[in-house]
Amino acid sequence: MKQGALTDEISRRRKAIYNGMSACLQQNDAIKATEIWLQEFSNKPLYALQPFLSRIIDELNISIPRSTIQQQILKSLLNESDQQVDVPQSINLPEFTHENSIVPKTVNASHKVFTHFMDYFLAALFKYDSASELSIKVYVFDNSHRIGVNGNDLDKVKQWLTDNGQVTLIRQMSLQQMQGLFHLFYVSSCEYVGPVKTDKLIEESLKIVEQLPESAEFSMKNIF
Amino acid sequence: MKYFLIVLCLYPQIVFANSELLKTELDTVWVVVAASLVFFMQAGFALLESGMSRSKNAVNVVMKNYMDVCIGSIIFWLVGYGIMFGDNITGYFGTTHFFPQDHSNIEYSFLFFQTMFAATAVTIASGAMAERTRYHAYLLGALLVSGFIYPVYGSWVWGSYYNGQGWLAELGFIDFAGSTVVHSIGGWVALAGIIVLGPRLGKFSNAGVPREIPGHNLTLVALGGLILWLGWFGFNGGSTVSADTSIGLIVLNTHLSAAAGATGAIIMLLIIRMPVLLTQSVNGSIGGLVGITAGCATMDPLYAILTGFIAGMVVVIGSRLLEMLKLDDVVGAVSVHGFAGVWGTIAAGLFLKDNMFNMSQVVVQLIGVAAGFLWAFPVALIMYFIIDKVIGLRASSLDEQRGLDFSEHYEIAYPEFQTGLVHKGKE
Repeated sequence: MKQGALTDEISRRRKAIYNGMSACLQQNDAIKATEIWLQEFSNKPLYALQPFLSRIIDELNISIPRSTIQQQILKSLLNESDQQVDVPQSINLPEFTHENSIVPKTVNASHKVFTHFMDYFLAALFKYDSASELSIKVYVFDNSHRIGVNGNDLDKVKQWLTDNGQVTLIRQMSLQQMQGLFHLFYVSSCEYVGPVKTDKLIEESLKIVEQLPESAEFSMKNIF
Repeated sequence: MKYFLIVLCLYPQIVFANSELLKTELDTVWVVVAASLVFFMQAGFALLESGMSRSKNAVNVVMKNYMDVCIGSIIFWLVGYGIMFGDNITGYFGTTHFFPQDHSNIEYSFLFFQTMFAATAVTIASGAMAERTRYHAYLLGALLVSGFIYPVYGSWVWGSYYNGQGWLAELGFIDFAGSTVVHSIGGWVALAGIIVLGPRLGKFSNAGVPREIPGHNLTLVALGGLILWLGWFGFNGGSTVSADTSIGLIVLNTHLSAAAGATGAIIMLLIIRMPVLLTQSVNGSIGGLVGITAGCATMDPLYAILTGFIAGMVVVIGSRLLEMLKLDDVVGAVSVHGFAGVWGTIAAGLFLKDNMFNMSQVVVQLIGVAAGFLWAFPVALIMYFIIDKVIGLRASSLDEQRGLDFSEHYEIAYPEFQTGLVHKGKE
């Protein structure tokens, strides 16, 4: 795709994302979310919706269910019309770089890299074999006590597993706990979709996550 | 020249004595060269097994091959040789010649040759048990195989080097170079190992359907197969333990059988409508080599081809059978060494030169095959079971995820592709 065409395509998607966000979020949040999308997800295939949603819910403390936002964005993406409002002038593609990102720096790099990786990995895994999604989650749920997270945090992990993406993963997970959680998914993924496919999906997800600026601070390979 | 002939006529004993010395020297040279070829087979095993494993386990596979030769050789020198070839009064095990020292030079060359055989028997299990076996636990098993399981059965068949005779040898059991003694015994040990270990993570789906887990380098597999093929000329040819003219037939039969083995495997794959895979073709040729090992000295070339051809087919069917039983043999060792070894041993009786299809000989062969299984399999099963309970045979699923190179050896085979992995020691 030529540069001009690429810019047009991103502009089209930006408009759809903004309109979808505006339908369910306050304008400030919609603008920030669109900016995040532009900065970090606009170059990803298939709009990278799941990781994007997970990210903005986490970053902007959005309480609206993820599924509702997703529905609005999809509607907006699929039904482009003249009725869609223009994107505010402030959301300008060339000005945004990772260095002047509006994303708060409060979330530590390991958590961010890990949650993004898991989002990509699980989205790809369940897209490949949606029939096994429940079984894989049930396995992880049943064995979640083995990752060394206790009390409320364990409940949050279980909620994260069962609430279909509406709950974000707890922030305060140690390296060992992240390793443990990933390992449970790895084992169940091997059992249900096979080790070869699992390794391939991990590799693909890793490639995407390595593009995050936080990956310079924390490598997902520490989890493997 | 005239004076030389006169001396020859007057003192024939001088010529005879020189000829005897020359024969001994030639025998020694041939046995040592053959033993070196058998040692080179270890490189073949290492390449083949590592190529059939995933890259994250490549170091582990090679390390197992490397160290089981080392440990197996020392243990065989310490006790194995005595059990296998020492004075065998009962017919069930040798009782002398432990820690062999102060022996004749010809005995040393024989010991060297037999040590390489023991190392071969030991290393067979390593490939079958690849990718999920703890390194130290495997080596402990290798120690017991080379010092006990292999030499005890060996004494039943070959234990007549000094005094006495093994009970199977007395029955007339034919196993020239070890289709059963070396290969089936190794195969049954491997079978016991994979039963105790269980399959690799995700090898079988919940419905029991086997999943293909391809090896990381098929070029290594092919190269390993060819090196094994070359080494087998020493394995079978050297089993004459003397430099005589029968070597020609032996190595020809060996070669033809290997070629027929690969052909048989391919044809069987076509018959059962499976893709013709390189791994199965290589395994087919090795199956042919295993198959001909028992009868390579006592068969005509036509029957060597038939033996190898059927052995190749047996390898393919055997692999399918194991998968149906949900047994995960990474390299197909049980099928190649165990099943093809059984067939080869029976074929040695069926196609015995000048005494073809003699059913009483076939019955003796079957007794030998059954004895091999009934000895090696249960003993190895108990051995691995105890090892598993005491020190743990199976690697953890986390180690399996990370790869045994990382978790067992503190180094990885392909660091260019795994740059983020820095081993921080055991947790």
